[in-house]
Amino acid sequence: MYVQAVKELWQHGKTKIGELLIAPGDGCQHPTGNFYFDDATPRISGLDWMTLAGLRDSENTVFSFDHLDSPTAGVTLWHNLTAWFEKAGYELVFSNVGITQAGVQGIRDLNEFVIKGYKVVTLINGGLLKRADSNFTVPTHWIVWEGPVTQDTAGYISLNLFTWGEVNNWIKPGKDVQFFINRFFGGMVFKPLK
Amino acid sequence: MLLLLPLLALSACSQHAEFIPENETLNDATTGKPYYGQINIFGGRVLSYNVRGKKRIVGDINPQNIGLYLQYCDKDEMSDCLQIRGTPTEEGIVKVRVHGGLAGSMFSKSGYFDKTYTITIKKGDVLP
Repeated sequence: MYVQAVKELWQHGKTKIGELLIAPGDGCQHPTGNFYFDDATPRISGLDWMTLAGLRDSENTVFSFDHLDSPTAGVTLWHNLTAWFEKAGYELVFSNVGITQAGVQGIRDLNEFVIKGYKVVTLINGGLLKRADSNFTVPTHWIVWEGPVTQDTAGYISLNLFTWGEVNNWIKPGKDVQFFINRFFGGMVFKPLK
Repeated sequence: MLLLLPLLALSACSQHAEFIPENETLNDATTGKPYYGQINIFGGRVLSYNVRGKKRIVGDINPQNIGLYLQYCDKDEMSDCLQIRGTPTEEGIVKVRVHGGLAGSMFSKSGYFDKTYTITIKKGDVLP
């Protein structure tokens, strides 16, 4: 499905996944800026730009995602994300996402769903993750859970999750539940595609 | 619009790397003796893929054939922590350059870092 979508974007400038139309504007198809850093390492892969920036640009009405440094146009709120999932064929079954922390009960609720095999996508502050620094505790980052949040005998939190292209226990080591919930803003639960 | 203003203010930020050690010199090495040094990169998620999508160590050592090499600090292969190991074979000056990108986020631009450390290799004791 992903390969087909990329092929169509490359060849025709648009694609459709279920009812989700990805049709980036001309600026996004021909962005300004450099795909590479000074040492020739990639800032973003071309494939990721086509799919991710293309998706984001398709629905941006105020900002255009037409430059490699267009972070404001990349801000994704939960109603956008939910709409993408639903158009792609997923069914939203639960949500506790918001601009305020979802608390321990929020974790328990999502744990139940992910254990049952539902897809759980949550909003966090990036400072929750290893090797990511943030002086704030505001929502900045979307992650996909690969299992439930667990707590070891010392009270430290673990969570296998997908972000930055890898599944890993990305949670900063040696952090307790209070650290987690200060940076956890709930999420959405979707019924898996058949 | 009131909601957008803070977002615009935040989006002006770009990722900026900081390092330990902060200065540009690593501990001296001695020929014939095992060497160990460590560099940590802070400030965000270090991007570690090359143009082909393969993982790369975000640094290099010059000259390359002097007995020292770079490796990840742990089995997770997180690119923000590098170790310099090996046994130097000859005297001289070694340059360790760490360079690469820091991932952006919803509110910040990606960033680039490039720093070069120096290791002085001294001659080891020679048995009479």
